[in-house]
Order: sequence, then structure tokens, then C-alpha cells
Amino acid sequence: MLFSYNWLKEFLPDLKKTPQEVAQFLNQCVANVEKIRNLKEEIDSRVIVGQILEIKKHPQADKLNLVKVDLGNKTTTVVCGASNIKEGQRVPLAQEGTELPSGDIIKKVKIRGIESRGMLCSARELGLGSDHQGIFILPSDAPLGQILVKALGFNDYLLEIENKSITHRSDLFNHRGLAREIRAGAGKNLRFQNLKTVPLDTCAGPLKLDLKNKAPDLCSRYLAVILDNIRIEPSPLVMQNRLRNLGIQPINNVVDIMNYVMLESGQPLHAFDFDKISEDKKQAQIVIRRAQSQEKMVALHQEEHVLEKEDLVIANSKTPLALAGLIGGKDSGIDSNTQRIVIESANFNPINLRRTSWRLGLRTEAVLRFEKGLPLIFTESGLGRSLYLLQKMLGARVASSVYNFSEKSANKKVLPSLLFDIEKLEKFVGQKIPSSQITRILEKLDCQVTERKKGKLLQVQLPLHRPDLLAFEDLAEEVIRLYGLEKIKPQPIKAFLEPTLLSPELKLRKKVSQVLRACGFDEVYNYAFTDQPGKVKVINPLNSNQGYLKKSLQADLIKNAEQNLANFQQFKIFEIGKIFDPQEKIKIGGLICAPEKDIFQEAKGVLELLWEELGIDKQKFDYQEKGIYLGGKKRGELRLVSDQFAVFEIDFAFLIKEQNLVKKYSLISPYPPVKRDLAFLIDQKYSWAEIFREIKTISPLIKAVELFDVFDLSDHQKKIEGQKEKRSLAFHLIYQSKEKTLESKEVEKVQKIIINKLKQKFKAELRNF
Amino acid sequence: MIITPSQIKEIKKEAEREIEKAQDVLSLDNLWKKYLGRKEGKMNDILRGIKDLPLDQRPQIGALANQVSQKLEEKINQAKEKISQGKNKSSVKRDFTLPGRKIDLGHEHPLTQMRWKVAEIFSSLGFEILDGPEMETEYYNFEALNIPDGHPARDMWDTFFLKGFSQKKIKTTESEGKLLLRTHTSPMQIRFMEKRQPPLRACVIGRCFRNEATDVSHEHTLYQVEGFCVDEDINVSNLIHTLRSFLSLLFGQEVKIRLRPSYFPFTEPSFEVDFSCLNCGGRGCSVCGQSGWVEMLGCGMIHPRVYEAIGYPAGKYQGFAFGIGLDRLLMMLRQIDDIRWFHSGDLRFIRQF
Repeated sequence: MLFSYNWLKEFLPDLKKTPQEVAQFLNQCVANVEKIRNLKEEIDSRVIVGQILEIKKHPQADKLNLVKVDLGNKTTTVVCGASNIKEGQRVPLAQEGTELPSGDIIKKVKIRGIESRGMLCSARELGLGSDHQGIFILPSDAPLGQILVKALGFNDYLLEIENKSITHRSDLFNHRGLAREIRAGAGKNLRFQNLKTVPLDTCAGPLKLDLKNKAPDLCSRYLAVILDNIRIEPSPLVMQNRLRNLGIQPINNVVDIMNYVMLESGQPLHAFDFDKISEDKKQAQIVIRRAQSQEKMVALHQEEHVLEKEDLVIANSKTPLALAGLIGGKDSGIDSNTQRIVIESANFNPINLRRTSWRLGLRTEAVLRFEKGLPLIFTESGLGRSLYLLQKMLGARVASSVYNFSEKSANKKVLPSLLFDIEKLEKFVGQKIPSSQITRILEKLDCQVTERKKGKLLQVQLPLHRPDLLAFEDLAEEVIRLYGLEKIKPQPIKAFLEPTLLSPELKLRKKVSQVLRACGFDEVYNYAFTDQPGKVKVINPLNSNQGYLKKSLQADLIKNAEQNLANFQQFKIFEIGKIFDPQEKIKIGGLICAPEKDIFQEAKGVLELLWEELGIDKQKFDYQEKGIYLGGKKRGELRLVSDQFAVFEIDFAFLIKEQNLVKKYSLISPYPPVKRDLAFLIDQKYSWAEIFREIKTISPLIKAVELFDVFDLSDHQKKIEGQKEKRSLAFHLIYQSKEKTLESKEVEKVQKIIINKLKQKFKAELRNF
Repeated sequence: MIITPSQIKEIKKEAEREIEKAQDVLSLDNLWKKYLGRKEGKMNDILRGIKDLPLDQRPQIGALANQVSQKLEEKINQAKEKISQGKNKSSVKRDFTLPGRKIDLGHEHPLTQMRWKVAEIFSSLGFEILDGPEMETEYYNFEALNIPDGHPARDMWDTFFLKGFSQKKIKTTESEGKLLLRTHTSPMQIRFMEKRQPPLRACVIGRCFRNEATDVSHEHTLYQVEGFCVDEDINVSNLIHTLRSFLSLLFGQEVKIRLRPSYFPFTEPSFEVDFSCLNCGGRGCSVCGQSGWVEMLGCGMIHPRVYEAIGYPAGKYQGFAFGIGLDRLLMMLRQIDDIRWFHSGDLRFIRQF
């Protein structure tokens, strides 16, 4: 929210702090100030006030006009396309050389053959709000030839406070509230200028309202009063400027006062045209009720809204007049003929209002305040203030008494008081704050403080504008921030030592990452989203490519690989990421890209290394086309995507159970190993695993069987040798005994058994090589 | 055959001359054969001839012949060494500037490295390291954290809502509300505390999701570090100390921090924490927007309603919680220009770390 420094100063006439100092205090003690803007610097001084003398059609262009502008001491002619200008109006003229907030520089140009010296500007072009409907028409009293910044009274600074940092402070979305905070932070007794208001109990008059609240749960307080003697005009320049600077478009005096009061004291107000809502011109009916399902209302901006049962409307006997707290209806609003008005000042249920607002996309300044839960007291002060301004500025007259609906719980004249425990505060902060200081701080925040139990407790009577203070922690926050956060000395946590080891999951992650990186894998991160229909759907995806949560890591790894091919010929990547199937599971995904290598066998080698590093017997895994199995359960996949990529994806959770990180030592034999090689031609239907198992069972002297060469006989060779469906397997055999040095004849004996056994079982044929 | 000492000396001289002349190893080998070889070597002839000499001459001639043989052997070896040394010097000079053989080690993603770094620090401070589910319920992500439905604070988090096709498997009871992707790591405060009783200290590092369009500095997928500590007397000064220690350890130098009041629904009071800009030492530069301070994390004392949701006895415990964006921290530390690099899968990026 934007705050005007000058406006804040109206509440604090003796404030000595500069805008920068105010911002610094707010940052340290109240809320985040995102920006300080010096308005004077925002509009080029070459933009001045001019008066339109004459408007002629451009001879060469239908939609353009030649506008002669009086600048006080000279006249100039500009080409202008806007349709809202009339002779006699005062308008901002950007002279040659002006730099607009957009960065554009105004130059002397010829437009369709006619020279234009300068430009008439819209409010948006000058960086003043969002209005781009036409040229920014200035009030007729704007001094001719004067620099616009001066004419608009831009001798001001704006402080921009981050809304979310004051979400809990509904009392701060207005100048009075923030001024109170600045006073609390200032030295003792900084004078606070209260607003002039009309006391509500003095209001009286002949006109009547028939006020019915049929939804007290959604509207706990509703005040309304009628005024006559209204003449609709533009509001004075000073008020217009304030509104515009703070982001609100001036409309007319009545509407502007409603908005002005909201910015000033925090209460959103609404004005109805009494004669439009009244049937007999003496009395008007106001019914606060829930909308009917599918009930329609055309709003001020002509847009039709279709309502639902839980939406709250302000209606008369026939039709909704306004969507409560959001927007007025087209047929009940103020227009240039309005003579009598009804002012509404109410407190609506924040949750309900917020829901309607989001559904209809009406995020107005009023909702921004209502949804934070406004102090009930604001309804009264806001209404009283608006009456004062309407009387003073328009000469409006109160024409009825104030109609007041207050739900029982909303009728309390005081907030409950809190007992504040000073020792608890010490324990909470970690150091002592003197009780006199606590009292002083709370009093600065308009609390009334009484000591109880010899000063151990403080009875704190809360001010009516702070309904957010509910518990010890809330008051503690007030005290700490105004005491000064920088005064709190850091102290280490005192606690009993407990071991905090990494969880098995994190340890495993670390291990897996280590092994894969040692194999040359780089780690990638991918999104959880996918366009592939999965088991979990995203109801509100950012785009249609992200409609589901993924159930496999593989697709994104392949995508990563394809993209990296532009820069790298060979690489290995991995990801330890989550899939949603629909339960959330961690997977280890990997991809190898290496041209002219047997990437499938390489990927398998990586997995085998991983099993070995995790202490899982690699022989326990069963590799099939459909997946990798362990103990009959599928634990992963390993596949060739194309000649280019081999991909694997392994469950993570089972590894925690299966891993065995305590490595066993086995005695190293002092006797030398004996190495022999054998090669066989064997039918392809026999897997290496079968053959391997067979050999291993033959003799305990066989320490290792290491396959070193496999080849399928080429078609050519098959024809010659008639060896269809056969392949050659060559392997090393390592023999070793723990008891003695093996003699060659012992080894030969086993070799013979192997040859015979393989011949018998697999029709294996010994090869010479 | 008569052998005289002068004859032997003659052979020696001749051999020495020839050895000196020899240019390569091969000719030296031939010389060795010529003089010392077993078959035709001249010195061998002499040694063989010794047995034919009169007995009294044998020891003298024998000793001399052996001596000369030894000497020649030595000379030939020396000459060989000289030649091979000469070779090294001239033709096979090593270029020490040639690159070593390339050895590939994979790279850990920079965010993973950062996660480990943070985990290491908090582990050392006695915090348990957790992650937790990414699919969450409205209850854990919002309600239990004092963000009821309809609360304007919900606007702080744009949320992805989910629908599981097999609702049986993803249990969300009526009270747990809708299924969603966690918008922050804070749900783990609730999940962890539901299982445990204080004293407790934990640090959650994990992936979160925000339903907002991506650009140079915004991501829908981000990483957060959440820390919390609860006991009967954990206080604001402990919070400040912990954060200062963490940031100083992370940056490897003493870091100044400052707290400012802020608002988060699950802490009361809540603070924003700035630390003194490391780039300029607090004097003001482009990294810190000329302020000398960098805004980095949010924190506060855990709200009593959070304890209430967990079921802890009212008023018994005090504790703090904080949250930091890991991606932003890393971007600042490494001056990374675009947050989207993290999920690009681009090895040109990852291999830099």
C-alpha cells in the first residue's frame, strides 16, 4: 500500500523525521517499506499546464485534431488524437524535450504534414495511475503555464509498504493507523492531530431508511445515513491529486470522499443515490441478505455478475443494489444528477467476502481491507468523518438519523483486557526488558496499563482499533519491535546433547551419488510435472504440458540427453528424484550416451558396481526384459532406448533394507592362484547365468569365473560351420586353494570335469583359440 | 701360446680406443662380443690360454686378465649409459606442459551440493535433517499452520492442487482437505512434532512448488530450508544466535544480521532477516540494491496455534522456526543469472560446479 508522507504529517504536525527517517523507523519497527518515491522527480518539469484555445480537424487525417494551446506567455499547436478534449479545458502539455516516465522523449515531429510541438498527455502517460481513456483534464483552477508538478502539489514523498508484511494489521491500511505507529516510535508526547468528525448521535432528519439485516453472520455491523443538498462536481485538485498519487482514480466529489476516507481512516464506504433506490422518495429500503442462486447483478462498470447463495448483497425489496463490500450496482450509483445520497459504513465477514471477491475476480481496495478483518470501531469513525467532509466540501445536509445494525457480539464498547506476564516475556525474549519500558511502549500504542501482583503482571486494556492483539505472543511482538530488535543479544541454544546422525535415507542418497559420480555421471534436476497421463492429476496446472505428476524419471532424462547432444557427444546423467504412482516414491534414474560402445552392458556394469558398493550380492538380481527383479519383486528397469541411450530406473526404498554396509573380510590365501582360460560354443538358449552357476558348483577350488569374450557367430560363419544359434563364450578360471600350492594336474582334473559337464548339460563344444 | 702382460695391455689399449669411438649401443655390444664374448672374445681367449702357461706365471697373468676384463666391462657399460643419456637429452625431451590424460568424475548438481552444505552445518548444531512428502494435504500445508481457509495470508502461496486417481491409496480424509503440492517445507513442522515431544531440533531441506509463471528470477519448483527448535525455554535470542551461526558457517566469514518485523501466520512475532552484504561489506552495491543488506529469510517464534494443532499442552513450549530459499541463496553466492538453469538439465551448467 502507498502512503503519502504529507498526509501522515497532517496527523503528526510536529514530526521532525524526514521521509527517509520515517521509512527507516517503519522498516525497523513496523513493516517492510519497499520503496520511497519522490514525486517531484517523477514528472519532467517540462510538462506544464495549458489551456485549449481551439480544436480543428487535421486536414489529412480524420481521427486527428490540431489543438491550439495557450501556455500563459505563448501559444503552441499540437496534433492530438484523443476524443475527450474540449475548448477551454486545462490540460498537461509535454513540451519538446520532455522525458516521459516510459522513457520516451517528446520531439518536434511532423504528423501527416503538420508540425506538432509537444504532446497532450493522459494520466497514465505521466505515470499518474492507470487512466488512459483520454487526455488528463485538469481542474479549471490549475494555474496556466505553471509546471505541472507544482500545479498538482507534488511536493510529496510516497512510501510503499509491502502488503503481506501487514496482513495481520488491518488497522494499518490507512494513514491514520500508520501515523499512530510513527508516533509510537517517536519520542514522548508527539502531538497527534485527530480527525474532525460529525458525532453520529447528533444526526437527525425527515427521511427514513427501512434497514433489515437478514444475514447478521455475514454483516455484524451496518451503519447508514441519508444526506441531501448534494451537488455532484469534480472534487478539488488537492483531493484528486492525493487519490491519484495513491493509485485511485478520481470520479466526482462524493465518490472521491468515500475513497479519501478509506485511505485516511481505513473504513471502506459506499454511497447510493437515495432517489434511485427509494420508491416513494421519502423512505428507502435496505436489505442485507444472501443472494439467490443464479441471481444477477449489473455492476457500476456495466459488467453482469452471476451470484451464488453465499454472496452477500445489499438490496431493496426488489433488486440487489450492491455486492456487499465489493462493488455498487449500475442502477443505484451516483451520477451527475444525484441530489440525495445514502452512505453505508459496514463490517462484513472477511472470509465470505474474500471468497466472493476471488470468484468474481473483484479484488478492490475495499476487499483488500475488509478481508483482513477491520476493527468494528472503524465503521463509526469512517462514517462520522465522511459526513464532516461532505458537509464542509459540498455543503451537504444530514437528512436522517443514523441507522445502525449491530450484532450482539459486535456491540461491545471495549475489547477484553489481557494480563501480561513480565517474567514470561523475559523467558520468551531471552533477556530482561525493564517493566517501566514495557509499560511505556504499550502506552504509546494506546493501551492502558495497570500493574498487578507487585509489577509481575500488567493488566493491559487494548485500544479499540487493535482487535489483532489476542494473546501473550501478540503483545510480546509489540514490545519487542518497539524496544528494538537490535538490542536483543544472540545467545546459543542450551540443550542436552543428542546424537544427530544422518537418516539411512540421506546416507544412501550420498552413497548412490558418490558411486554414480565416480562412474562419471553428472546429476540433473527435473520437474515433477509431465504431460504424460499419470496417476496424479494437477487440477490447476500452469500450462497443459504440466497436467500430471510423473510416474517415471526416464522421459525427462531422455529429454535432457537429447538436448545435451547439441553440446556433448558422450555423457552420463543421473537423477535421484520423486515419482508419483500415485504414492510418492524416490527413484534413481540414470542414462548413458556413448556412441560405439555397448552402453547396455556398461549401464548394467554401473548397477552391478552399485550393488557391490552397497553390499548386496549382485548374483541375487534377476535381469529380464521387463525389469530387474530381486526376490521375485520388480525393483527397477534397464533398457536400451535407442542405439544412443541406455536408461535405468531403480527403486530407492528397498536399497535401504537390502544394503549391507558392513563389509566382511575373507582370508587371503598365501598360495598362488592358477589361471586357465576356456572357450566354448554353446547354444544361445542357455544363459550365461545358468552356465556360470553350473561351473561354480563343480569345485571349491574355483575361486572366480570371469567372462571376457562373447560373440555370436556371424551369418557367414554359421553357414560354413553349420552352427546356427550358437555363440562363443570365453572365460578365465581362477583356481586357488587355502591349504596348499595347487599342482597343475589338480587343476587339469577340474578343467576336464568342467568340459565334460558343460558338454553333457549344454552340449557345449570346446573351442581352440 | 705365450701370453705376456704387455700383450694383455695391448688388447686393453686397443679395446679402449674402440670403445671411445663407438657411437651407438649396437657397436658397443659388438665390441663386448669382440673382447669379452664367451666364444670369440679376445680376453676369453687369454683366460682360456692361462691353463697352458707355466704354473708360476698363472696367478699373475690370470689376475691381470681378470682385472682388464672387469675394466672393459665397466667401460662398455659406462659408454652405453652415456649414449642412452645423450638420447634422452636430445630427442625424447618431455613437454611438462602437455595436459594429463582426461579423467571423468561426475558432478553433483549445485543445489545438491548446497543441500549437503546446509545439512552439514545444521547437523553440527544438533538439528536432525529431514525432507518429507511433496504431496501434501491442505491441513498440513495450511490449516495446521494457522492459515485457515479464507485467510488472506493464503495469497502468499499460489498452490497447485492435485487429484489422485486412486484415492484409496492417497489418504485424504475430510478434515485433511484437498491434496496439493506443498508450497513450503513448513508442513514438516507439524508432521515431525506430531510424532515427537520437545526438546527437538530439526532442519527440513526439500522441494516446494508455487503456481506462478517462471522467468529469470521465478520458478514454480524451488528448494527451501526450514529449521525449527522447540523446548520449554527456546527464545528470540537463541533464534538470532542460530541464524547468525548458520549464515557465518555457510559463508565462511562472520556475518552481521538484522531482524525486522514481518508477518507469517505460523509465527508470532515474525521477522525478516537481512544479512550484511558480502559483496560490498555493507557499504552498498548493486547486489544489495545499495542498502548494504541482503534480505534472505523469514523467521519467528512458533505460533501458539501451531502447538494447539499438534496437540501440545497450551503454554508449555516455546520455539522458533525459519525458512530460507535455497535457490536464491545459491544464486546470490555464485552470481547465477537465471533460476531456470537449475532445472535445465544442461551439462554446460552442471559441469561448472
